[in-house]
Amino acid sequence: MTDADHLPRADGTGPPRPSSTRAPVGRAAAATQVAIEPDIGVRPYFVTRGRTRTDRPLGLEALVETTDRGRSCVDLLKFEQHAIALVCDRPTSVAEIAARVRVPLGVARVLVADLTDAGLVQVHAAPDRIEDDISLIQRLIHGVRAL
Amino acid sequence: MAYAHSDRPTLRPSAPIPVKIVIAGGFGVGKTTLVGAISEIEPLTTEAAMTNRSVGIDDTSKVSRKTTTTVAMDFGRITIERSLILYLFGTPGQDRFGFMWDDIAVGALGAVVLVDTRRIEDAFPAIDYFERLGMPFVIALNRFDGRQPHALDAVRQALDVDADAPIFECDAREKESVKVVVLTLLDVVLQRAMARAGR
Repeated sequence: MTDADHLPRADGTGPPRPSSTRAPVGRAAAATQVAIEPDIGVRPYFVTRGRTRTDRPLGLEALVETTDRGRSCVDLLKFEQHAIALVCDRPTSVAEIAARVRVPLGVARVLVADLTDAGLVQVHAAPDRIEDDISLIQRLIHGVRAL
Repeated sequence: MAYAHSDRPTLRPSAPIPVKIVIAGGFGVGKTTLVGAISEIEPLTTEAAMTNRSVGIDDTSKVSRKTTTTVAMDFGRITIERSLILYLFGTPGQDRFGFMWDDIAVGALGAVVLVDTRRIEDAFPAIDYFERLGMPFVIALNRFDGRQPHALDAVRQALDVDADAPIFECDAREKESVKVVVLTLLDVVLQRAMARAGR
């Protein structure tokens, strides 16, 4: 499979994404500042899915996905954050983000953390004790065999 | 829709799960070739920048100067199922970037140590590292142009690893061969998981 081909490139080329240019400016603009002023009614730990800044750093393999809210205000984001919101239209690992947006890993982590705080992307980390998940390992084996 | 508030991030029924394995070995042993043989994308390169003070390679010098060193590592991706994605991360080849390995190895399911039988000693740091970590690993001898100067037992002896660590030959350029490498590792991972579960 080559589903990487479906990913938008960091320069904004690539397949069309859901139209988002008509997002209400006020709300969307506020969304980009959620890190400073959390959205009313959304508990911070919900936005960050339980993660806080004191957690261990994001894994290289952690999957980042643009939220509906992120899609709705993607055009208001600048530079690398804009590129990340586009690239993460499909779940994309932190390492892939760094490679595709052409920033060092540390920078990618900070940008993703900011976007996560703002509720514009969500992170899917690997579950804890994944090495004990027998059925998941079996799914991997079947999948690799079928390649 | 369970959520009245459209602003909330939507939790999908099955969130995608990332899984990672590590491809380690000496410089030029064929790690990127191996990743490329099985990855659904061209291997990507990502860089981590740091100053030489954090690298700690200039201990003898008391001169305080900062130069930036860039460490590159290659990785590939295999979409197993829509919601299950396997990443293969190659370690930087040079020993002095060993600190990067923690970043790569944390949370990994297991590792492949790729060996060039002409430079067996290049594999020592990787084997030591995964043994210390208690991480499952397999040792794959990369065939370079069909040359096979060492018998498997001789390599096992030279590497001084437990007899139950799988050692076998592979061709890092061939997809089928690399599939066997990954499957051998996953089998070790599965056996360990079943042993822990008492099955």
